[in-house]
Order: sequence, then C-alpha cells, then structure tokens
Amino acid sequence: MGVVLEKLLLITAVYGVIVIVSPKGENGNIVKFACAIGMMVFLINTAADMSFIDISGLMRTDEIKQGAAKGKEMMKTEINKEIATYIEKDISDICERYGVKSDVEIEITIEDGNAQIEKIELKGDFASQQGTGFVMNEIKNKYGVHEVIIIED
Amino acid sequence: MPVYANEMPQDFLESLPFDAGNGSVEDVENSYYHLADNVKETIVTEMKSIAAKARDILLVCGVCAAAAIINKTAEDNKGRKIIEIAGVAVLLMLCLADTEAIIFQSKGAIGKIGLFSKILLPLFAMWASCAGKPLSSVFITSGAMAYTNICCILAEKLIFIYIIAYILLKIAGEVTENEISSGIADGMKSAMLFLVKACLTGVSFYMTMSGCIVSAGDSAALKTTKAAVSILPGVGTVVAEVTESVISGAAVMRNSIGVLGAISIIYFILEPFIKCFINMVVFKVISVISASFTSEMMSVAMRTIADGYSIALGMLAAVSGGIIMAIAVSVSIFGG
Repeated sequence: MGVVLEKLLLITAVYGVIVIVSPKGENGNIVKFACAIGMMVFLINTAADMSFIDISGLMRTDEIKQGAAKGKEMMKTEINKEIATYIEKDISDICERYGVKSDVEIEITIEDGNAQIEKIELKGDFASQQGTGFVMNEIKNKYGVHEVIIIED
Repeated sequence: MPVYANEMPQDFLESLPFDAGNGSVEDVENSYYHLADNVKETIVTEMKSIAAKARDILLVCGVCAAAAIINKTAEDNKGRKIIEIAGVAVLLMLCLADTEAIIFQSKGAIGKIGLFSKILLPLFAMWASCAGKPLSSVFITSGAMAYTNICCILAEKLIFIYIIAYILLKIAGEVTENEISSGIADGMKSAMLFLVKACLTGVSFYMTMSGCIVSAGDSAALKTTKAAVSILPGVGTVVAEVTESVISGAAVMRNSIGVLGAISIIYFILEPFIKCFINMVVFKVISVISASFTSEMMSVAMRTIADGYSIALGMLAAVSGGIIMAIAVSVSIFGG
C-alpha cells in the first residue's frame, strides 16, 4: 500500500503543479485533460492488479465442507454412543434382575439408512452364577440378535 | 447434555482477541463488559485527540479567513487564491497523516477478520451440522466465507487505496478548479459505495434464499439418521430423546461459538470503527462551521476527508456485518 500511495501522492502533486502553472484557455484545458487521463490510467492500473486475483480461490470453501462433514459424523457417533449407553444400561438391568453380575459391552454402527448392533459382549464369572441362560434369551428376544458373546473371567 | 458439548475447542479460544476463559456463560458475559469498557476507553481517547486537531483546523481556517479579508482590498484575486491553496495544504498536512493511519488501521482490522473467519466459520459449520443442520450450515457459512474473502481482497487491494486517492483527487480538483479531477473523484466514491452496497445486498440475498431452500434438506437428513437408528429393536422412543439431547447440546455449543465469534469480530473493528465515526462526524461539523467564515475550498476539503471516513466505515460495517449476519441467520432463523 505504501508504494502505491507514494506514487499516488507524487502523481497528484505533479498534476496539481502542472494544472496551476498551465496556461489559461484551450492550451491549459489540453494539459488538464492529459493529466486527468494520466490519473485515470494510474487508477485503472491499480484496479487491474485485482485481475490477477484467483476468484475461484476466494470462493473455495473446502474447510467449511470438511467441518460440516465432521459435524455430521460427530452427530451420528454421539447418537450411536448415547444409544449404546442406553442399551448397556438396559442389559445391566436385565442381568441384575436375574442376579447375574456382568460387565456389558456393546457396539452399534449407523450407516445411511441402516443401523445394527454389531456385538453384545457379557464379561463375568458366569460358571459360578445361575440365570445366565435367561439373561441371554431375554437379550436375544429383545434386541433381535442371534449371538451374545460371553467372555469368562 | 452430552459430555462432548461441554468443552469449547482450545484453538478457537486461543484465536479470540480477548480472554474468554473456558468459554462458559460467565466468560461470555464478562466479554460483554470488556467490550463496553473498550468502547468507552476508545471514545474518550479519540475525543481528546480529535478535540486538539479540531482546534488547530479551525485556527488555520480562521487565519485564512483573516488573510482573505486583508487581501480583499487588492485589485487581483491571485493573493486570495494563494491563501486558499496554502490553507488547504496546511489542513492536509494536519489531517492526512492521521487519516491515512486510521484508514490503514481499518485495513488491518479487516485483514484480522479475514484470518479469524478461517477459524470461526469451519468450526461454526461443524457444530451447526452436528446440531442437525448439515446443509444450511454448509450453504450459509460457505456464503459468509466467500463473501469475507472477496470483501477482504476488495478492501485491502482496492477500496482503502482508493479512499486516499479519492481525498487527494477531490481536493486537487477543488484547488485547481478542475471539473475532470473532481468528476473522477466523485465517480470513484460512487463506485466504492456501490461495491460495498452490492456486496452486502448480495450476501443478504444469498443467505436468505439458501436458508429457505436448504432447511427442508436438513429435516430430511435428520429424519434419515433417526429412521436408521429406529430400525434397532428394543430402543423404542429412546432414539428421539437421544437425538434431541445430542442436537440440543450441539446447538448450545454452536450458539456459544457464534456469540463469541460475533463479539470477537466487533472487538476487531471496534477501534477503527469508533475512530472513523468520530472523525467523520467532527470533520462534517468543522466543514459546516468553516463554510460560514472561510472559503468554500477549505470547507470542501474537510467534507472530502469526512467522506473518506464514511467509505471506510461502510467497508468495515460490510465485512463484519456479513459474518455476524451469517451467524445470526444460522442461530436465530434455523433455531435449534
């Protein structure tokens, strides 16, 4: 900006001096007109610098699209997590009802238009506990899964 | 509220021009008080500075008026003309350095807004998308980003240079009584104001229209996600409750980021905006007062400088207004 302003000040000063000392009448008008054209050329040149600017670059909004996509994924993941937490708590309640002590782990995937329970894992000392069979049956019936993985401690 | 929506991103907090703590409601409230204090301090400082300048300007106008009265008895008009030119030269020496500094500061503020928008808008889009508005967030924030980029380039490369050029050309035209020069300056002023208005109208139109068009798409996207989870047996109405909880948590975060972003943008433009506004008003007042006792040329010079400030004000308002409008549209119209 500094260089442009310096040029501008110089041109304005030269222009002012020429106009003040220029002869009156037609000759003076020609000088004034020539100076005004010179000033216009300078201004247009400054504006023309703008033509080198990459307009498509200014319109590029990749970060926004990436941010929005991340937000959408985050929403899905959070819904997924919250529902998994709900199901884990529900299964824990079922275990408690049958007197079975167990850690519950569950994994759900949500793709566009489809969601499914990938795995239900029960972790505990099942050999010494009764009622594990009832728990598994209720989970299978309620959540429509074919297999509940049991991991013995 | 989900845990993920309780922590404000650290890189965003670090990019703010004020200390927002951890982005809690109290911190946002404190930032309002800081903003109000900053406004008061800037107004007081600038008023003190401009009062001294106004006194000097009026003194120069008074000396020129007195010299013109003394010279009135002379037969030719040359002496009077020289007094006027000398008066305008002294006025320019008094004012132009400060004017250039304030305009340069405005340019710097717009540059800072440009950089800040690159952090704010993608983050805002992310949380708006998470709040169940994936399409409108992309359309509105993309519009705001493209608009900010274009405005920043226009401001930095063209308008702030042309403001100085306008002041010099207009005053040169008046001093030399050259209509061509004055005409070019007036044309430049009209073109700059047209650019500012066109940018602001364009972005308002884009945001309103895109908002109307894509809000239906957002509902469809949310329904698809809800429907997908509803397929799971045994979850019943939990899906709706969980979705509401996730969306409302994200909406709170989106709104907090939006409010902090809007306050930051006001922080960036605050000082140059107040300086430009006070200078514009003072120069307009001096122009009116000086017109009553000194030559027309001096009055026009003051009015031209005031016009320069008003163009800078317009540009500052246009750049900051575009981003604040995008945030306001996202937060208020699409709700959530």
